[in-house]
Amino acid sequence: MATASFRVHDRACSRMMAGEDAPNRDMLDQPPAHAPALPAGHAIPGQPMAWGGREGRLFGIFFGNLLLGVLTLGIYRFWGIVRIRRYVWTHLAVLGDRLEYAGTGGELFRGFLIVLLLLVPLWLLGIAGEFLRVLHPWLAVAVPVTQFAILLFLLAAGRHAARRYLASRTIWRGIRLVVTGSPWRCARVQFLWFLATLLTLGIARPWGLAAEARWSLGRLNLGTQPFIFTGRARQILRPFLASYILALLSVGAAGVAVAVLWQSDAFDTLRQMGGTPAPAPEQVAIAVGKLAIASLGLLALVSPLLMLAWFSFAAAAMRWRWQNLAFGGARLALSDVTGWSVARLQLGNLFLMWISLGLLYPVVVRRRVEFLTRRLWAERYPDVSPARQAVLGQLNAEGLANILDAGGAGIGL
Amino acid sequence: MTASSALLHDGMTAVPIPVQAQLFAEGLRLRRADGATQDWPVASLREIDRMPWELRIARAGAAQRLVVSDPAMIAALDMALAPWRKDEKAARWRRAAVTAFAVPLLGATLWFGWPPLADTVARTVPATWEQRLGDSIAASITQGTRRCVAPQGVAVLDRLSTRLAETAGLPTAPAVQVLDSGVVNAFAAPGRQVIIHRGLIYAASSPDEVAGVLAHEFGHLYHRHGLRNVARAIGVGAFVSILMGGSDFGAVAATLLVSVSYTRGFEAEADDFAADVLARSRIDAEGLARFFERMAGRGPRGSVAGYLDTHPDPAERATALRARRGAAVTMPALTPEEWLALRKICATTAS
Repeated sequence: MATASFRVHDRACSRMMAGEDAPNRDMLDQPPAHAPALPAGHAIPGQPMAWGGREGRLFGIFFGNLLLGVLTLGIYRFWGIVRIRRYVWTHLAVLGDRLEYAGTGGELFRGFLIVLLLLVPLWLLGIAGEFLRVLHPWLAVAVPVTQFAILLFLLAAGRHAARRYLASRTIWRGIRLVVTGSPWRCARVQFLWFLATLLTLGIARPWGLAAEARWSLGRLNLGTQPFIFTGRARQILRPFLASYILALLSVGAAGVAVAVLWQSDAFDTLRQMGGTPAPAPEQVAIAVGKLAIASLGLLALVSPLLMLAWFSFAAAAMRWRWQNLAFGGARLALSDVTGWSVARLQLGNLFLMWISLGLLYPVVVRRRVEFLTRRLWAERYPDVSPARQAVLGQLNAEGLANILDAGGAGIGL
Repeated sequence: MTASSALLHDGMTAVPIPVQAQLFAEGLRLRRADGATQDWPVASLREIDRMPWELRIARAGAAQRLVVSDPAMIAALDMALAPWRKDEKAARWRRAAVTAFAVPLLGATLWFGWPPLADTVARTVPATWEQRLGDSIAASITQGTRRCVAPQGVAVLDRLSTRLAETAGLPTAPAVQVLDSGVVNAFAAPGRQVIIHRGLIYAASSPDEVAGVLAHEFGHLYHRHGLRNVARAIGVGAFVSILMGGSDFGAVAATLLVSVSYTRGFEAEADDFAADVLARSRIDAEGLARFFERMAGRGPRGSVAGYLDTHPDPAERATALRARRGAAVTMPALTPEEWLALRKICATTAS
């Protein structure tokens, strides 16, 4: 079974020729028949994941969900999410074997109700805040800040709970994934890193990212066999500082430019508008025009620099996360993940959702999945023989993250 | 039938085990290369997923999975799974039927149950809090627009509003102010605040019309509509956005729709209140009725649109008012001199 890649294309092609399915370039690759782990000496890099889904089918499910959602006052949402996930999971093959999604809509709905109970006190605090801020001025600051802090903490806990739940409902070759660790401890760590990042004006971010990765990737297991995350903050320090300095310089330059504009004749003209002698209307028009051109020029100059800083670091962090992850003796890697490709993915998805008011969601799902499956490589065929089914306790459903809108399709592991 | 090869995931390890699968009437027999066999009864077979080239099945309640790709075997298993698939389909239809019954019930409960509940919550808010809230709302609305403060006009307005407020039995003296703006509009903020735009006074053809509008706004104050509306809208907004999952277009539309329907109930209540107060003040409600009709005549476009949006049909409101008009002798709300002074209230303005 020493194939050049983990995907075996010719079998899929022969099945298509046999007319067992309509010819389709998205046809799911066939699994290499019970391929044993390759001995270390014969290790060849390969792509461990493959996507065989079709956008058209996703659209069908999505619009069905939309219709049923309207008819049931939105309650169908939870069952709709499950249908989308089931389709994505069963069309996503890992080492040739398709994933299985074992979650149910009823579970999601129950999780949602539990979260509602958690959120109601917070919501009441918010309403009380609306009134209290009239009574005492300082409450106008204290109440929203407290509310924000609690929300942030709950969100961090909810995200970890969601990861745990989603993993436990993901089955590969009959073995469930497992994410360990208490959501509350995760939230405490994340919250402290958030405060540290705030207090250090962002400098602590790489260490915060490392803690985040240890809590997400570093706690993932296939049954009893762990994924090993070995990333250190100092490995992304250099790209981080480069982006940080670039962002600082562009914001600084923008500040200087605004200060110069503030001193300019054009602004003087506007300042005189209320007084006597008032400037002539055409003078005002010229001043406004000048200022508009100047600020547009400034925006056109500064925003690409900021985006360059943002996306180049986002790409570096993404590569770092995967490169430092190993499973079954095989290190993983992302190829061709650059600031440009990340920007194309994320801005593209935002744009698609925006122009379609969310109706192109299936395209976004497909783009997210393909971004990962096309770029992910493993240095060899991982040895999965140590994995055993784990015995799980009761798990909270993922309602918290979902209701706070952090869930999404939950594709990225 | 003859055995065909398949892959078994044993539910304990992640290494697939090649097996020979053979389907009998009682069940599925799986034989490993080492000769070990296991039997899965037909009734325990569950479909995980069915692709054109591959069928994955499980044993009910177990973590084991069997991956079958031999077309003959898939066809045989399809037959064996048919009763289970039929049961699943029936269960889906039962769930759909229950939902079809439960959802309208839930909707009706919320629709009719929420307003009284929100009103109860609103009633627990102390009057002083309500007043401060209303004052801050009024301050934020009047900010940036000049107020009309011609002394004679203010004196006339104060006399008229005191007279109406006393007849109405308002718990706190209202604070009525006129804004220097051409919009034909008047509204009440929680507590004691009533704000009238200059445009409304100019659009009125008699003092009875202004008195009628004032009495209507006092109705909102008396019934604490401002606060109750806030309480209701908060609940509806929260419910809709939680259920729809975030702040999308549907949530906004639904919230708007529901609150408009609630507001209309409040308007009718305030009209009733106005008719009663006007009758007891010996002011003809015909003024308010005529004012509504004129608003209707001006159509939905232009500056009147804002006034009509959340309000019921003006013609109907006028008819309802006339139906409640008593036969008692009435007096004009203001003398001609007072009416002139009120119309000139914006001769002096302050910020």
